[in-house]
Amino acid sequence: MARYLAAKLGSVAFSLLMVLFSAFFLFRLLGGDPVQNLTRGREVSAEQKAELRRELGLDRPLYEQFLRYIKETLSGDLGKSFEYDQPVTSLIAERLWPTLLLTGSAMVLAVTFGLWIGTRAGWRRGSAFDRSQVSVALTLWSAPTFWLGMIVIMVFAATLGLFPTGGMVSHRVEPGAFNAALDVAHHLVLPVLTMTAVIYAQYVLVMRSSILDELGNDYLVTARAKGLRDDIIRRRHAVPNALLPTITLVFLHLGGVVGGAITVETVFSWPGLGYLSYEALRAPDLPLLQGTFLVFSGAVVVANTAADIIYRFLDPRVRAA
Amino acid sequence: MRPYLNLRRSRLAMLATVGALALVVMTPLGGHAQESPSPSAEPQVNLNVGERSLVVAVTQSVDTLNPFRMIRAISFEVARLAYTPLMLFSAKDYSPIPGLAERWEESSDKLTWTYHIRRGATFSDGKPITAKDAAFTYNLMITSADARRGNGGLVLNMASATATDDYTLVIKVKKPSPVMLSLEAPIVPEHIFASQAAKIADYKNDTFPMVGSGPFQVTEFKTDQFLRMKANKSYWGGAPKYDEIVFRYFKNSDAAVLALGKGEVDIVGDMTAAQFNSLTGKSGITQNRAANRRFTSITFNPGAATNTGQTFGDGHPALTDVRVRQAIHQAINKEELVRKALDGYGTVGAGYIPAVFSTLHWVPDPASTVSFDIAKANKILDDAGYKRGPDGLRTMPDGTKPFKFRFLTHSTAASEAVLADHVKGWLKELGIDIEVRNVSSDELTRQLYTAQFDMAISGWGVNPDPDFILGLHICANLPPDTSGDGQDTDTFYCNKDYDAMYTAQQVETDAAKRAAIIKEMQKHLYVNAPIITLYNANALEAYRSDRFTGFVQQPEGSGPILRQQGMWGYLGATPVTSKANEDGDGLRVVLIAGGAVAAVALAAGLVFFMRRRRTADERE
Repeated sequence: MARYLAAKLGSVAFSLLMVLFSAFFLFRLLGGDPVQNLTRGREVSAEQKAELRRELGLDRPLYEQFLRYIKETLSGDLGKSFEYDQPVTSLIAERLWPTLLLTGSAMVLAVTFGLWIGTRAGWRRGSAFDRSQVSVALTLWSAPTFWLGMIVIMVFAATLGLFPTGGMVSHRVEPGAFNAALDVAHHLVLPVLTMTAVIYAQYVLVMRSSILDELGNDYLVTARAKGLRDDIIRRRHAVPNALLPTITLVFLHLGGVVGGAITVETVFSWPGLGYLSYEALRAPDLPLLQGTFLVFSGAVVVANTAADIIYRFLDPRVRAA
Repeated sequence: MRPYLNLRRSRLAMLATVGALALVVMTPLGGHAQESPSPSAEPQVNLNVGERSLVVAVTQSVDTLNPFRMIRAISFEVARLAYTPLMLFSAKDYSPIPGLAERWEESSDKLTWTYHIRRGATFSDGKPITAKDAAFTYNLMITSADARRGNGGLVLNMASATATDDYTLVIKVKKPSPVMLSLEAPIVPEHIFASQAAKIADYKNDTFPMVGSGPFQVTEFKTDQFLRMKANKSYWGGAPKYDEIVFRYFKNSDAAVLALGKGEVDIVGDMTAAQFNSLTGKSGITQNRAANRRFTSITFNPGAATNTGQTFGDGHPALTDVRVRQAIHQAINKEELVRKALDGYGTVGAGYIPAVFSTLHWVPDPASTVSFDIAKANKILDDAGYKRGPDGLRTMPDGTKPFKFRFLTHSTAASEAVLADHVKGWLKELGIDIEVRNVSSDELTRQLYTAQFDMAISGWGVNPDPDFILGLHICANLPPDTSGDGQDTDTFYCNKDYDAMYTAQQVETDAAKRAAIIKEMQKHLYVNAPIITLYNANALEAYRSDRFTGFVQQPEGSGPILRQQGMWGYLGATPVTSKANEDGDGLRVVLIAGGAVAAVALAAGLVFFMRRRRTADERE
């Protein structure tokens, strides 16, 4: 086990190193002149642009920029955003919690509903429930997020007036912590609804097919022969075995939670990390892009490793192999 | 029974997760509670009855509140509200009018400007505004490159700024310049900024309430969420008629328009034609179709060269001939473009400087106006000796190089795709084949600056002082090399007559004389056609006239309310008094009731779930 862990951590370290390197070069390969974009549409002379380029360190040779980046990143400094003119670390820290709140809530809901519906649908394969739920899930899965979000805003915010059209907080809230929390929750409903609707289908489908795999197995026949209720057989015998592939899926997505949902955050003006990286990409705001890329990739690497390790505990077969 | 245990665990895990989520939702609650145990400890939150806020939907986020470091247009909008510059641009016609400086004069050698600062004006913290604050502001920009990120262009020609006494500011310039009549940099309080001068690049200016000299002061700012400005009751120009402005941030402009319809925001700008049309006839909403200071044009590659005369790029040689450019001008139906590309929301362009700048705008006389006439355009090309080949395309007189022009357009602007389609159709009738290259702004700039184009769409928002925009076509701004970096030219145009006029206007500080030169320059551009002004798109705005009226437009009566060169729109806004107080207690009730129902449902579900499980255990 110790050897396994050591090997695993070694590969994690290697992955993170690759991430560190590619964060620098990837966005420089993209092209685009940050200075040109930052000053677009404004009357800025070539002299001023050169000054700005100097200030941002873009006039230095590439290897020099790279060495500086490595040195700073390793000491925990992700540099200063070109666009926001403030440290990247503080920008990311500021956006982290709105993103976790949005994507975390949506994921919990999607996993809960997805697994529940998937189990039921698989268990009663071909039933009206199965067919209707799978087609609803697939329809929502294929709906463009932007479009779905707009429809949700038009119906629930603009027409029915039940929820705000966007943002995370109101500019005007009655004093008190409870009111503040209520206000955030109020803003959270529509984006979470949209995001859940879009992503829950994958859990439905994976869970459904895992259940189908289990259906014909001998142990279920045995359980039936014992005279157990159908309900009990499903919950205590079939589901635990069928859950294994789903857990992998959940953990794979867990890493992505940090990255947020660019589209949902944009449609609902949700001030999260996904949106931040999108803004950064447009400039391109290199330090901010590098920072968000490091955080996103780091989260995925860590989540995947965690999935691998946890899987060994959950499934004895993996350990034996 | 391993599966059994696992199942229970997974259920427990699920419950735990739901619980954890609930905790996450409550987190800000706990945090806040600690910081502010009682509601009275939160002075920023204000729900006074009768408190009137003007909520402005914005789609751009404020980058910084430090006026020396701003880059984005929205930040400058905030700065104009928070600080008063030496001079303002009038709402009437953009002419310079007194700001902090009551009056000013120029020395006879035109190298020294004296500004007399108004007496009795104070910053929002009560300290008097003096010439020393102004001298500090300009000196910081003169001496520190870090302080030039925001308004650096204003000081490039300045040698020094000195306060000779509390109410006299003397600025020495290197050469005469009319820029001294548009000193719009925000004057900051020295007593706040002096201690930050050494590290001005890192200063965020986010101690609230912010100390400024304008009609509104920033009191709260959440990046990419909202920014709140409270009225400065001691503003020297007279207190605003309402209590606060809130800039609410929308990344999604469609949602902003819906929010206006719903009454969540009071004014929205920068709308598309479709968004604007969706508000027609809605009660309580007034639309403002405003004449704007933006123009859209086609620039040609008239033979790119560096400032040392080295030609480069691969522009089509035919476009070095003024007659070809004139023929193309003649073959463009600008009225049709306004109708099709802008849905009618714009005006046909002629003079380079938009009509909103009435003192500088030039209009060709009817006899010399280039109007849409394909036959005439064909005749120009025929007369110039460009014959059609067997495929119908014209060629150079020696029969080589068929007229195939690349036309660069911005992929981000839907209107440009429509525009390009029409231009392609018209030019086909001239025997010119257009290859439309719909590319990103980045790519367009790259191809433009490396001269790998024949025609391209260009557009600018013009400032009250047109020096920069006129300078886009002078020889001095040709690039130093062929790298595509460090250049200011928009057209690679270089003409000594035009250059002479440019130099003359640059040192002419008499407004009327300068305007005459500038009009002559526009005529030159119109006739020689290195650039064709196609149209001036309207700024499309709408506001809740059931809540606010009295918005002042710039220019008065026809211009926009938002994104002015000034803050007249906000300053003039007057709340409609009859309307009952602000937004929805009803909404709150719905929300709380909804929350309660959800909580009860959740509790009932849990009870049911537990019971069911228990009986199941028994039955088993």
